[in-house]
Amino acid sequence: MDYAYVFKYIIIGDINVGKSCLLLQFTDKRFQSAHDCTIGVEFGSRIVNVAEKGVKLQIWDTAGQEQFRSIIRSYYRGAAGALLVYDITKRTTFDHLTMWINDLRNYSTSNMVIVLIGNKCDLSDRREVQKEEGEAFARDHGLIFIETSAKTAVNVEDAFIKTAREICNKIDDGVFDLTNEMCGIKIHHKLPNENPNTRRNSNPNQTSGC
Amino acid sequence: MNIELVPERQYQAFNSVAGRHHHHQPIWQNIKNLLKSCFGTQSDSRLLNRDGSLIDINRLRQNINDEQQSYKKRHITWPYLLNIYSPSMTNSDKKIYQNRARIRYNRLKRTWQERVSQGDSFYVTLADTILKDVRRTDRHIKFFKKKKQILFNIMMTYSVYHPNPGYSQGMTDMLTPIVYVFIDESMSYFAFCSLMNRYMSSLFDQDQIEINRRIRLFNLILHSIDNELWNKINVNEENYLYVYRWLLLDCKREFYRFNHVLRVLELVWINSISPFVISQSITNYRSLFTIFICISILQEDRQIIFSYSNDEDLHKYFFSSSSSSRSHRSTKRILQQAQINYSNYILSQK
Repeated sequence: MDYAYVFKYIIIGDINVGKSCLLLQFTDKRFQSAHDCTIGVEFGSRIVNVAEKGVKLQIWDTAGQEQFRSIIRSYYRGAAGALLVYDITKRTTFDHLTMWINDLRNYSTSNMVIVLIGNKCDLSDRREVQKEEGEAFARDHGLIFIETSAKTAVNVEDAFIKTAREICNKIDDGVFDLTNEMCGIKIHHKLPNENPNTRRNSNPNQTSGC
Repeated sequence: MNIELVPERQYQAFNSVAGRHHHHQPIWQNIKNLLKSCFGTQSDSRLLNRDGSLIDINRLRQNINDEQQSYKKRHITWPYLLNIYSPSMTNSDKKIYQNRARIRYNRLKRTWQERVSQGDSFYVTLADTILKDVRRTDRHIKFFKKKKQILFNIMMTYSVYHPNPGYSQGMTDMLTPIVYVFIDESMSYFAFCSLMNRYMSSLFDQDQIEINRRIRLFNLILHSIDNELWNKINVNEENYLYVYRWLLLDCKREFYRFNHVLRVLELVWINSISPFVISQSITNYRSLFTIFICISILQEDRQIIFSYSNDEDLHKYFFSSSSSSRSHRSTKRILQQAQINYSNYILSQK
């Protein structure tokens, strides 16, 4: 599938909120109940259709533990979208959101689109954070809000695509400086005679002005 | 908090007196060895004297280096590799040590167990995190199905009594091989403490100084061994962390089969007590061999890496969580190459 843009995403949030599971559900359409804990960062990508354009999402899934914080911060820079995840069955993961937002503001590019994700919505009987609280927090901080379940795949697709749509809107509004590599957006140049040989010798992800 | 009994200097001393030590063996022992060798039995693979002390450290080294032998004797060799037995300890010394270790460990364990049962929030949160990680670490290995409690207890005890660095994700990856070989809970605990103490805990430090040093050392050595490969993977700042997990966990997650992981670790550890390494004061040298394993893995995958035309392929290669990407590698070839590069490096440093 061809694509017009490459967007860089990061997934952040407390330990055990389901960041890696969201990525796996999005890229591979499967759920893994047990998954090796993330050391540093992991990577996945997928092409999606947004506003009749193909967009390739390059997603960096990060470790949630405090100890890895200084490493993952270097990935904040140069990301166009951030998925900030908490666990609706664990109040403390919601309480830490302000810390995460501050961290993002301090270490990322200013036009980053942030979507707040309340994950594990399939476990509604164990819910500790009400949907309204998530909505209110998102409203106060200017974030997109969505509740998902990486297990049942509810809204997972939507979370990634909504973010992409918002980034596309911002591109149309001229908010991003696409000449700056650090904005997390690259224009994908289509090659005139696309065959495997010419492709190998060129760099398809070149950055350029819009 | 740690009852690591053997200061590493003793090993150094032992390396130099090993020959002399041999002469002190009772005469009947020599005769027996002679008879055994005449009848072609495997006296060469014997590691311990009758009293339970180590015959000599070079035999230990030979045993580890011989892949056919090493896997049968891990229960004997690993306590030396992980520095909880000193070479001169006899069977009765070992019994005394085991008893002391058990009493000490149980006391440590009881203390946090009480705090957890009282609902102390720090302990409860810690227990929650550790339990989740213990459940998922090496979950495919049948042996661990009934060992979750042991893993959990050891990890809790370590984390509570070692607030620096405290519990860090990735530690359970280093604990499973130890429990697999030692089986006994208290012995595993002290072996794990010893490993952390020797070089690993500093890699887990939150300030990241030691791990960054290690990444830089890796870069330097890769640059000198394989400049082309170094150029290919050192594209930008992002790639700096390519081998972060590899170097943090002694390549534990980079091998497909668990028995290969055990092999890799014992080679890292035997090299961490070599006279050369002990004579160096830099902590990073303690697990220098890991760097050479990383380089060999890259060389093993050289063709694959050079077939990549963009950063995304490289990101997938280094940061993909799936294990299928590792299954094609030959562990034997990787380790042989690592040994060769390592020996050359040590020679060049002398």
